[in-house]
This record gives sequence, C-alpha cells and structure tokens, in this order.
Amino acid sequence: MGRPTPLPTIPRSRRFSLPPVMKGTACEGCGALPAADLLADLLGPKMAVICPASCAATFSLSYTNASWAVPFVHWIFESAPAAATGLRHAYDARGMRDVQVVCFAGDSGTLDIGFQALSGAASRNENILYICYDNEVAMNTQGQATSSSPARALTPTTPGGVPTLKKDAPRIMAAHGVPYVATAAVSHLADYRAKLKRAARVRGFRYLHVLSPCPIAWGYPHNQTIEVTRAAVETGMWMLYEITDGRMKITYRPKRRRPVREYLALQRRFAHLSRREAQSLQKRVDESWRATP
Amino acid sequence: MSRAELLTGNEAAARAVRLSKPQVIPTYPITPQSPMLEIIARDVETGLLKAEFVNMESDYAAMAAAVGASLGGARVFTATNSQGLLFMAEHLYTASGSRCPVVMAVVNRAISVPHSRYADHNDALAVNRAGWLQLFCEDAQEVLETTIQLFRICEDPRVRLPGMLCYESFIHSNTAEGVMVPEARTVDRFLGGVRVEALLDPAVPRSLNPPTPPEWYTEFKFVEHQAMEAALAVIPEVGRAYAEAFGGRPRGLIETPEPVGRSVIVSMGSIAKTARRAVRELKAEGLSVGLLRVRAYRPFPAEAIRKALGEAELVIAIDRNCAAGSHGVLYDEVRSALYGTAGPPRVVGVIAGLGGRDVTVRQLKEVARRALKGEPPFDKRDDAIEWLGLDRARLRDESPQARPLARAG
Repeated sequence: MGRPTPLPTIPRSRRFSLPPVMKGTACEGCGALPAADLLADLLGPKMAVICPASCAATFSLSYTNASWAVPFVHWIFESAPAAATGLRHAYDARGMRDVQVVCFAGDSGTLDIGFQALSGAASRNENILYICYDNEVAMNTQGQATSSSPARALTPTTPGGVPTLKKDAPRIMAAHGVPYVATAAVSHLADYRAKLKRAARVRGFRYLHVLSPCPIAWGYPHNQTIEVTRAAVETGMWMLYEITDGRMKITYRPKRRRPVREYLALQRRFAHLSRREAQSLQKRVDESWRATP
Repeated sequence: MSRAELLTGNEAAARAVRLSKPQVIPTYPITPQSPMLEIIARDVETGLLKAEFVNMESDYAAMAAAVGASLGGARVFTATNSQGLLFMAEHLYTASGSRCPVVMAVVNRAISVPHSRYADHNDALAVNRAGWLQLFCEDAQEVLETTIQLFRICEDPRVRLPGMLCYESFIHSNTAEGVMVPEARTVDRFLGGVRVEALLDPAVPRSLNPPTPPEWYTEFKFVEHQAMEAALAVIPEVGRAYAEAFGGRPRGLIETPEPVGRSVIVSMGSIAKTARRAVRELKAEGLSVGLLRVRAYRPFPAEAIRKALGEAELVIAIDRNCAAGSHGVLYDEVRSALYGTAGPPRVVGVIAGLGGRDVTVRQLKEVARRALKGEPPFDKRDDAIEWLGLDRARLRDESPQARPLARAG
C-alpha cells in the first residue's frame, strides 16, 4: 500500500468549522467532515441545514457551540425531508425562494428509518437538496449494520458478515423521476464540488450520495480515509456518476479498474472474507460495470 | 357583520382556516377529517386562501413539515385524529419543545384495536402531556370560533405553544348546524399579522436543538410550563375579545351555563352539549343538578374548577375516554383539583360514549338521578365509577378478538 496519504487540505469555509471544543466530537479521519465542509463552502450563506440524528448531528453542535454558521437544526431521526418540505414552503410563502434548504443525513437516517420521508419528498419533487453522507453503518450508535452496509462486511449486529447487498439508493432516487441524482466520494473532491454546484442550480429535488468512510467502523488507520475512498472508486466498488433528468453519465471512469481485493484488504471489516467470497464480490462489480452505459 | 350559514364541524373548521389565513398547510387524509382538507385544498386552488397546501406522505410527516414550516416563520395549520395523531406523537413534542404555534384540528376518534371510526377522546388524551393546548368544542359554532381564536392564543408571545382544536368524529365533523360566520376583514383585524418567529432564518443563523445537558433541560421544560400557565389567562382574554368583535358569548376555560347548584355534571365535547338539556330537564323535575363544561383541558383549569365547584356536594365526571387500570381523565383531574379544599364535594365517575356509542339526554338524566340517590356503583366510597350502558350479556360471549376469523365464501 505504500505510504499513507495525509488528509488533503480542504479550503476552510467560515460556514462550517469545528470550534476548538468540538474537535473531539468528530473522530480523526471522519469522512463526513469533508462532505459537510465543501457543502457549506459552496452553498452558504443563503442556506438552512436540517440534520437528522447521526454522527454529523453530533459534531455539528454542543450545548454551547455550533459548527455551522448558517441556520441549522438537529432533527428527529426519520423525518428530515418532511421538515425540509415544511421549511421550504414557509420560505416560499415568505418570499425567500433564494434560500437553499438542505438535508445532511447519514445512511441510516436516509435509507432505513428515514426512507419513507425521503421517498415522499422526492415524489413531490420538493425543491430541496438532499445529501446522504454514507459511512455504511449506523455509526452514531457504534456501527450497527444499515441497509447501506455492503455485502459481507462485519458490523456489531452482523457478526457473521452482512448477508444482503448494499441498497442502491441513488438509482432508487433516480426512479422517482427527480431532476438530479449524483454519487460522489470524499477522495474525488473536484468531482463532488462540480456536482454540488450543478445541484445548487437545479430546481426540484436533488439527491447527492457521498461515500464518506469511517476509520473506526471500517477498520483502517484514521489517516487513510482518502486512500480507502479512492480505492473504492478505483476498484469500481463505488461508481461516480450523475443522472440528470433520467440520463445517466459516468463522471469518472478508472482507466484500469484495480482488483476489488485491494480495496477489501485495506479494511478489517472484510478481513474474514475467503478468496471465493472476494471473487464473488469482484464478479458482481464487473457485472455492474458491464450493465452501465 | 357575521352571517348565519349551515355548516358541518368540518366545514366550520375549513371556513375558519380560510379566514385565519395560515401560510403553510401540510396534510395527510384520515377519516373523518378528510372532507375538511378537501375544502381547504379547493380554497387554495381557487385562490380563496393564499397558502402552500402540501400533500405529505403520512400524518407523521405532516407534523414534521408543520414544525419545519413554523421554524421558517410561517403560520401553519394541519388536521388529524386517532391513529394519525398517535403516529405524529414524536413530532408533537418537537412542536411544543421548539415553541411552534402550530394549530391542528383533532377530529376525536376512537383508537384501534378494536377498529372504530367513531368518536371518543382517547386520541387527544393519549398525548395530553405533549405540551399542546387542547380545547374541546361542543358544537360547530365553537369549532369555527375556537379555530380562529387558537391562532391568536398560540401566537401570543406569552404562550408560543401549539394548540389542538378538538371536536368529535361524525357527531361534530359531519353534522350540519347553524353557524355565525364572521367577515373576513374583521377576522384580519382580530388576528393581526402573523406572529411566528422564524427560528431558522439565514439573516440570524442559529443552531437549534443541541444535545442539552442535565444542567439545562429542566429550565427548558419549566419555561414551557410557564407558557402553558400563561395560556390560562390568554384563552379567556381572547375569548372575550372575540365576543366583543363578533358577538356571541365569551368563551373561556370552563363554562357553567347557570349556577351549578349542589350536584354538578362535569364533562367536555358533545356530551356537555347533551348534558345542557339533561340538567335543564332535571331542574324542571326539582333536582338541583348543574353543568360544568371543560373547554380547555390543557392547560387544565384547576383554579377555575375549584372556584366553580366550591359549593357543590356531588360531582359527576362524565368521561368520553378510558384507560385500563386507571380512570377517566376528568374524574382524576377534577378530583385532584378539589383535593385539600374545605369540605370538598364527593366525585363519582361515568365512562360514556366510547367508540361513538350514543349518549342520550335520558341516559344522562338517569345516571344523575342514580348518583344523587347513591345507588350502585355510586354507593362505593372510592372509585365509584359506572361504565354507562355496558351490556354485561355481551361480556359472556367470547371477545371479538378471540373469535376465529370469518371464513370467506
């Protein structure tokens, strides 16, 4: 694997930064931090953020400190898109159409407990920007499995490995017929930035799904977040694309896809995998790329 | 000038909503609240009401959206009942904790299981600790007036709490009555501008709902309690202002149609309306029975009740609600309010009208007579509680749930 790559320097916006006393609330190497940082940097200050129960909700505010310099609410787990709907319509009714209403949510708040609200808001094509930062577990409660956990990964509630496939959230959202859906990864910030910018210009429901690894849950050294994310993209495990008005476009195509086992080998959560299981994951990745335009 | 119209409870609520001009109305249909939503949807479509009408994906989401909209500074109305209200429960607390003056109609309907579409108060009472004002109406006129009044009460800076407008499934919602409807312009003057603070405002960025340590949580709850106590003064104040502006009688926390006398029926909702006639007829028979109608159940008007019942010797609390292993809420709370007063009246309870069972004038008169005479179960020293009209013969049958499923074909 060579030398660990340090976390890149991300332009610190004034709209999102952890106050010194909050530093301990986000773990070192947290993949959600760059996802939040770039969002605030690009969209502020005319935005309001609704963040359901999640790691992000925890590092966003304490009783005396706030990380966001825009309106922010730590919301109930399963209903951020519903609250965002209300807020959007209040702003519209009050002539504040230029304010972006943003949900910033983890994968459990998005795909499990929050899925009905998400689907509801998307079905109504509410003018909301929804960002799912995906660390593939319910990490705010110590890493239990979610429907976004990948097949075979070890979690505290799947000690034998996740028996099912990762829920394909972006495509489910695209099937709602919303104007903009995209995937991103915190290793490919230029790509994420371009998608945030595009999403900010679109009216209607916009869904961004950002792979944001967690060193603790995934089991890798905290200074390798970007490397691990990049491996997910370069091996083809995580595909970077956007779907605009139903048309899918790959935004980053690895020149030569690295073998999936290189990605798996970086993480303790896959350490128990047999060669055959790894091969079957490789096969699945190959198939998904073959099926892609 | 007010004008008389023939309106159902639902129509009266919808008309009041049109007059009160909420800006955001997130909704989800449930029987029998949906006819009201349909009227409001049409009003918005035809421009009679300028508002954002949003068809949410659930009752739960409707309340989440209501709170979100209120945090954005909008006047908000929604409506639900029974299962929908229970489904919303989590966000009822979000609304009161965030001090959002959302107004919601609750068309009181019994809760499943067993399934029922008919009236009782168990839905609203299941969430009577959620920090919402709860005003119970006795007829369509009061539905209209209370809806308009609630916007002013809830948005009052002394209160800033959400409020429920409670009226009963079918008995009120689908029954047409003569209703005096005030003019739009005068309602505008009565309500004034929208007084909802936008807590989520890009001009004044705040972070809301931090994890709150034990050093602070109590204070949050205490100020909510203070606001609810302030509502004890604001509710009658607004009732008086309404009567001055539009005529009719001023509505307050409780209502005692005439001097209560030595024996008093205490009730709320449609049963109180029926009891008005029952006590009139009992008086004609020479029996001293009065009526105290509880209009504001939250905040609970203990002081007003103590004053009104000071001279009484017997209180018959008639509850359209029940809790297995406990009592009706009026029985418990009235008794608690009277405890410790000098020579408090004896309080007996009647559980009546569950799941929409009719409660008639005759039944009320008969149960009052028996209570006065101290006939069973009113001869018991404690927990003298009658389940009105209970058919004991049916109890010998297997319970409906124990029955085998009906076979098709």
